Amino acid sequence: MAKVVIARQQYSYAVKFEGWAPGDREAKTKHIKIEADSDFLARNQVVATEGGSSAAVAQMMLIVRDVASGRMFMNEPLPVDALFGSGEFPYHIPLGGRLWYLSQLIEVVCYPSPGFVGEVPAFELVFNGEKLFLGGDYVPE
Amino acid sequence: MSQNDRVITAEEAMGAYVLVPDTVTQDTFSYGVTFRNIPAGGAASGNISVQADSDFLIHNQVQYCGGASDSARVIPNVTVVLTDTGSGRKLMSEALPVDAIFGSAKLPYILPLPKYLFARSVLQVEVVNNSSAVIPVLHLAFNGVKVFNKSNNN
Repeated sequence: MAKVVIARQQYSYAVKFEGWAPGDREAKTKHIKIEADSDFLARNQVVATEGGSSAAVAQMMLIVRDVASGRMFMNEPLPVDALFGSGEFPYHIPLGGRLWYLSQLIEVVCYPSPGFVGEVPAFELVFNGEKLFLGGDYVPE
Repeated sequence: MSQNDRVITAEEAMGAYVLVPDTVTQDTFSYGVTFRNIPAGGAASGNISVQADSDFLIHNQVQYCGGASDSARVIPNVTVVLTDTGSGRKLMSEALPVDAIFGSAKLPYILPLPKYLFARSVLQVEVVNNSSAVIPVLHLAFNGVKVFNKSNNN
């Protein structure tokens, strides 16, 4: 039997990286914990830079994966600029979005692109979408 | 066409149900390929190896070569050829400028008809640097959906 979506709510999950000093190439890991009250359908992705050079943020490499299964959402690290847009022009996730289940733990790893030695300002990766509140059972006829 | 002919719409192709009736589930995914230090006037080749666990439906394509804002964005003077090595079929009649078929996350190039790649297949990406300077790095990303079918479990 399948669960029925009884309510939907606009919501955003975000993860903030505090920035890198010049010459700092350490990879930093952050986690997104999907709240236990609902699933989350991520529809678009946005990066917001807190001052500083947006070009420095755009070249940052990232990996996103599901901690429980270890499954990555890309075959190799990709630049932020390839997967995250702006509020004006967000990156729309193909075919409606990506579904993350309640209590799922998502890991985001970021590091400067090889060869980049400049300063990277703090930035926030935002996943905009909707909470899907489930309840009841769908019993097909 | 007769009334019995069935037109496959883009939406159906994206859902892959017409192409592969035994689809179990789908999940968004991105395949990337990186080229480093492409010499001036030189060529480079890379492969997208579709993982064995699922087929892949390409929805949009993006490239990144430096810069960030719309005014500072670097559009490399590069031409690209995509070849589905399984069939040997090229996806274009001739090498095309990368800016013609690759966008950015803000404005990605959305394929007119999503390209379906079977599991274990290889998409060859050949690029030629037509500028007079070395291109330090070029990232190409193919964003889409993994299609898990019953046959992928064999």
